[in-house]
Amino acid sequence: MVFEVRQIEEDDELYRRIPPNYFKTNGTISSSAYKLNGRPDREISANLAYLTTIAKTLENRPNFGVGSLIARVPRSNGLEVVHDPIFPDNEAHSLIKGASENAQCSELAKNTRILKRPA
Amino acid sequence: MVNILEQNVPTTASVGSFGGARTSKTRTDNPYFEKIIWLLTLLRSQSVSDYLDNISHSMSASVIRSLADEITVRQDTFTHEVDLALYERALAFLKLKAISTSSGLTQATALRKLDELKNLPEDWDSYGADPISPNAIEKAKSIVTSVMIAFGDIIGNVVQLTDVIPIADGGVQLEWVGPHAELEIEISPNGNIGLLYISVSEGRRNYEESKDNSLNDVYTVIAKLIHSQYSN
Repeated sequence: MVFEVRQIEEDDELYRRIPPNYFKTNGTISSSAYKLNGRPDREISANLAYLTTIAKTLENRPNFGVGSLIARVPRSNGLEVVHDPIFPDNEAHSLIKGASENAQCSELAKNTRILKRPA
Repeated sequence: MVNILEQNVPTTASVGSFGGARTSKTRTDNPYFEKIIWLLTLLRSQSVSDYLDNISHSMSASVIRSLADEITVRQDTFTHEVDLALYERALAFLKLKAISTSSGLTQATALRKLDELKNLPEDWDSYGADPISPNAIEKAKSIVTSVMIAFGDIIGNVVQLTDVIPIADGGVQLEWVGPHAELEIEISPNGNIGLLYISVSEGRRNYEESKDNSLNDVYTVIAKLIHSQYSN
């Protein structure tokens, strides 16, 4: 038993869980939200919005925030967006693949719409 | 990606100054320096000594001494450009043209926030982050203190240190905002400095990134951030 792998369309929305420390004083998020070990995260985890909820995206981190990205944004910055469901825990799991420059992380952060601020 | 250090901007800096004389032949190739030179031409009517007298109330004694020393050394070398004191006067002038009304973080607040990062536990980001390295915190505190001493009231008026952000590998990121540009300074756990300068032109964000920078490189890019108000 596995989940069906969906084709992610340009207008599809992705949710990303964001730690409180990445929220800036002006209400936006830092580019660090899309880095791993201090470098651009080559496989950024996100959830396909229509297969999840904000609460599910938070998992057991209720004090975290949640941001939204439209798939077109990473793609227009040279990144790949694919559905990568994890059976049986997270059908919505998706990946933004290929980030190698801090500028790409900065573009993602700049275009992230905040859906839930940290508690 | 353009390396900041490959651009024709000053590569030397010290407390109270960042306009290295050794790059004088290439400085005028850079549009942002052309604007500064134009401005300084207007300011040339004031003598160096008068200028130092006028600014002495707002700058520390060490900065004044540094200025005076450098002017003595450099006054013969600035035959086609401007002297250091006039350069500093331009910065004071820029302060008056400050666009932003936000003062950002004070030095004390920034240092306190950096100290607070020591309390972040392992996996503080839920993606497996490391605790923040004490080495990175101390280096970041050193940078904040040095920049605020070197640039004085310009920090908070023209340019603001807006955020202190932890990095998942145990490093620290300092985020600065200028009139038409932003700067991210990344300090790795071992103290290496990375710079990401983001300018906005005609609605497009342009990125310049460099790694393994010195404190002088930080001064240079902060100066560039200050002068970003002339970029649009």
